[in-house]
Amino acid sequence: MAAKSFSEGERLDSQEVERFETVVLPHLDAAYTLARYLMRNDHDAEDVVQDAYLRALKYFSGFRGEESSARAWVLAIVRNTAYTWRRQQHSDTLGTPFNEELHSDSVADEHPEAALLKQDAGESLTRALDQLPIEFREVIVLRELEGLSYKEISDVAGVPVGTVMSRLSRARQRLHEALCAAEEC
Amino acid sequence: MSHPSFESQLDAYLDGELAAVDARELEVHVAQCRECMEFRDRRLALRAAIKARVPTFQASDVLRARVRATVRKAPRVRPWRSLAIAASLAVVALGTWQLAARRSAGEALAGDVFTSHVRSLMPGGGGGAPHRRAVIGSAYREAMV
Repeated sequence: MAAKSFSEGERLDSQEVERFETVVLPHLDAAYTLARYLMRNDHDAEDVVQDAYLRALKYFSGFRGEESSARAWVLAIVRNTAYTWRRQQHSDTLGTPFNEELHSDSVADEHPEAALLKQDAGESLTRALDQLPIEFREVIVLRELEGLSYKEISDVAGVPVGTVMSRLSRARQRLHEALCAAEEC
Repeated sequence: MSHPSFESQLDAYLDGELAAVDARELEVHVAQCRECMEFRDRRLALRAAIKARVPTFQASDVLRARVRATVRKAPRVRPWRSLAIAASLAVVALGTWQLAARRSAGEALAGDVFTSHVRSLMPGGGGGAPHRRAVIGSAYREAMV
């Protein structure tokens, strides 16, 4: 993806670049973790993070939040960048758009190798997460791995807190089922 | 537990996202409901499993270097550029001021020309203001008769 060019108003002065390095760069691992789970491979995740950081830099002068909110701010940019990349990658092969009712009770992406997963419960949990619809996957990653509050997740994903709650609950139910399938609980 | 909103509530409780009043209410209910307790225990087990087994990732050194390079290469506002902008603003301001001054001088000149022209048309020309007002006043009265 081509680098965005900066317009005159988006240029940063040296102090702002320093502030960017202090406030935003420390969240690189969090950004990469989110991108890795959204893109499901290292190469795309790295490209998404690179592109997201370029965007973050471009819009940083408009970021007026506290340092504590920089994490959610940069994760929102990573999330939107990942969605853009996915749309471009799958523009030819778009399936049905995500529908909470439609996707919530069916087991998505049931694998023929499901029996194999039972060998390793840890791996099966990660795989189960990878196989969740992206809208469920992101709330789990944002909550369980990144430790964001419901309000922050709502801002990052652009959905109401109520939707965050129901997606989290359904996603956890799916993961619980996967865990049980692997461990025969 | 076929009550999704209750499951969400219990998740929110375990996530520390319920208001204190709601949390107490929920605790009272869960303490009396075996099914709810089992659900809570399953969720706690799941959380522990996620924490123990689902990895976070570290950005590779290559990615870290790429991102740092992006930041270093970011276009900056250069000091000479600020000075140049300030200087050009000063030129524009000076020009505008000069133009305004010249215009007011021009207007004053036009005003003088007009005044002297009016005076030259008056009987006895070159009279003072009171005289002009009297002439105009009499002309007005004549017109109204």
